[in-house]
Amino acid sequence: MLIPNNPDLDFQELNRRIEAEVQRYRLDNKGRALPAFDPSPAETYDQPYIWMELIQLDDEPLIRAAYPTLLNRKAEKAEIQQGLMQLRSGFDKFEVLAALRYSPEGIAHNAEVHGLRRARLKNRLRQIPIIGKLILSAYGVTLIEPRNRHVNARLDLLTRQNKLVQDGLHAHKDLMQSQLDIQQRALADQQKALQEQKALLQQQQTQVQEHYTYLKSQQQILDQHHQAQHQQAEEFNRLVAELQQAKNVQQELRARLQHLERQPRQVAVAADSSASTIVATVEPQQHQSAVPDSFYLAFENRFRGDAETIRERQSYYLPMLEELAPLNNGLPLVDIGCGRGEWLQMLPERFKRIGIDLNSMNVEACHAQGLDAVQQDALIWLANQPENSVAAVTAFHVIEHLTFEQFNVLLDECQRVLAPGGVVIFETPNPENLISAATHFYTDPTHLHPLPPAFTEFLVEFKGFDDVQIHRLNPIPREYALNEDSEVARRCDALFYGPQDYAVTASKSAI
Amino acid sequence: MTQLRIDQFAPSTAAGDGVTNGLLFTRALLRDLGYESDIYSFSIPDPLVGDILPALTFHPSQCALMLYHHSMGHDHGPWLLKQDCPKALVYHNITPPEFFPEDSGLRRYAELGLEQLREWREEFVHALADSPLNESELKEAGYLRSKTLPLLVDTRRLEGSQSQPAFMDHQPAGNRFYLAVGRLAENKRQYLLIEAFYHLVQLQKATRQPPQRLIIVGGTTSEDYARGLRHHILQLGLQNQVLLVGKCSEPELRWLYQNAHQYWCASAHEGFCMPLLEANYASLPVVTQARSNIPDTLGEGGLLLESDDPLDFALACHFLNEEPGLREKVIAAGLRNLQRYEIENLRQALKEWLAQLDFLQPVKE
Repeated sequence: MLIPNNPDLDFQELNRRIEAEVQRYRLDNKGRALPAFDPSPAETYDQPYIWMELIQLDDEPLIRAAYPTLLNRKAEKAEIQQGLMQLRSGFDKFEVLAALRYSPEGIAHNAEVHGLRRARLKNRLRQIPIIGKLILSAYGVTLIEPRNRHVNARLDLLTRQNKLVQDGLHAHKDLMQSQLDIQQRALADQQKALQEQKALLQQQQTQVQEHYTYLKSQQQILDQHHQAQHQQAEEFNRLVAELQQAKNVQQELRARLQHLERQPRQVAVAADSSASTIVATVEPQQHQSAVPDSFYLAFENRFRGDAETIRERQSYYLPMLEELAPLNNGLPLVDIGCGRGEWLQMLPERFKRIGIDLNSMNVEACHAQGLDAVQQDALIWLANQPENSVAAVTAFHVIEHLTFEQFNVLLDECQRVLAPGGVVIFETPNPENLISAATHFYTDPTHLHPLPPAFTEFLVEFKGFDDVQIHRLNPIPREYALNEDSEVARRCDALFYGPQDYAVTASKSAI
Repeated sequence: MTQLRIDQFAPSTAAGDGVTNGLLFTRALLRDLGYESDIYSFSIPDPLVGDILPALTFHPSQCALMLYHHSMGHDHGPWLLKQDCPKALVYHNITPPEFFPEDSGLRRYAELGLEQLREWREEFVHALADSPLNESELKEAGYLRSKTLPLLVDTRRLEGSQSQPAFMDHQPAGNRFYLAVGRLAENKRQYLLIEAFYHLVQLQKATRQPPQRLIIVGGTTSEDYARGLRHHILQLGLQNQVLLVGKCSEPELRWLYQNAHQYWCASAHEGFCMPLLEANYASLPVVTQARSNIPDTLGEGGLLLESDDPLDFALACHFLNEEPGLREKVIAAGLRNLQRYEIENLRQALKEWLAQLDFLQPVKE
């Protein structure tokens, strides 16, 4: 059946009709099976020939081919023998063919033949007793001269053919001889080439030996190099250790320098009268602001984000505090700008927590939740605390409100009030995200300027804190990014969809 | 700057042979793309002397890439492997050995060819196959990098002059002939075509028809099989109608494609089967059977039979003659099929393939 491969044709219909025709044809030709195809039939003459081909055959092939051609059947063994006997006893092959063609079987088959008339006549004469033979003999006598010529000519032809064959054989022999000579010469050449190759191989062997010696000397040089490198590596390690020690000494020196720098202020704080002066000068400035507390509350409600999100983000810091020794030993955590106490509320109750905020409404809200909170400027509050009295100072989105001067004081005060091992956590918008730096940062009119992480890290380190780390946080969710596999997309993603905030964390040296 | 050189090597070539035509066509494409390119072989037929160069004159140092054409086993493996230049395989398919008589030379070389294909897979930087069937054979033989690219068919070849073969002089005027082109070898199964022709003649007995002939063109690969075909023709009484005419020249082939009535093929195995496209090109409707690579090459370009039954074959041919409009639709589909092998498309595909071989510097346009 046809396989559908062309949308323009209705194969279903075509196949149906072909199938019907096949059935009809099979019915009409029932029992007439085709002969099976034989892919490698033996070389046989038992098959019909066309007349011109048949008469070119001789001897057994002639007899074998004559039967299928003239009688439409294979020759029996006895028939082949008889035919061969006739041919070999000097009968003309046309007479043999005529006998078959004009036998009753041959007449029935009626194969197409040419030029058999005379042979047929002779066959008929031969069948008449005595007279037939006489006529044939007389006929033979009349033909003696031309037949003699014919026989002579044929004999001559055979002689010539024989000579040709012999010449051919001689030529073939010569050819074989010359080929043999060529082959022998080729063999000799090959032998010579082999000798040359042997010499070449020996030469190459010497070269290989030389190479080997050379490689050995190279190996020795390499070994020496290797040893020298080993020594250099040891020297390098020693230098690294020395550098580390120098860093430690530098840190100690910095701490001692700050201690010295702080002393005049501590003297000022120690004197009660001057302390109250500072409080008096600073406090009114904060409170004289024309912006009412209610503005900040409304502002925060609008822009702070929901409490759940904030809690989720701040929970990032909990593991840092879990094992903090001073906190676990009962010293307080102070949260500057504590707002409504969301962060303090997240901390375990076993920790002592103090909130500080300038906004009275926030402080009241903290009190209402049972949290310890103070309405005061944090710098002043810190200045009033004794040394080594606080476990941790946290400030979320506070330092971007401070002048450089105030930030300095904050860090100095933290360094002073923190117990050894105490930590600071300051979170602020990350200006590495260009959208945060250029727009969101300025949504709050009291933000001063963005603080690049590198600067903050440097300043905190400069102030003598240990373990200074920057934590980049809150990237824009991936679904808003470009999500393309290209260099441009990767860079844009980093600049516009990267972390929106970062925190600097550090600890006061435990020494 | 001297041009980059990409040469081709085939152990033997023959005039009119499918692989040799592919070599010549690929050389034309490479030269079009700006490469220097020659063909090398150990066996070059007289008409191609000078056009194809003796393998012993090949210079591997000047050759950026050698395309080695593999289609049958051969004894030139040591020479091939000695050539110190990057080599890519172009695989033309090997007739499965079981199609050849046991103990025959053909069978031995077919087996050797498959063995060489497997053994040499590390020798080639990449492999091309001229049909999806061949590519699947490459994968089976362990080739990891391969692509199907039928760099075989130069349809421009059919544009040349035509010449009526001498044997047509003896045929009656106004005869209608069915054409089959392919060597006389067991896998080509011309005996099925002879039987189909027998049935077709029977089917058409009732109606008046012009004198009909089946012309089978192709040299003899297997002497036994050819004798079998002659014997079969005699047995079916078709000696005056089925002609085994031997090889024909290119102009004669063009004449035959142009003047035939249908193109017939019953081959059991074909690596590609170019005559189908040659028939498509000459607007000659094709009837064939869905064996080996034939459905891929034929596409929609002819009638494709599911079975091997010569009676089904004969009826498909009969309908093609009798059904109004069918012949025209089949011819149109053949021309559509040919578009897949347009030279521009193949040149572009070859360019892309070469571009991804990173050791070849791109050619200046």
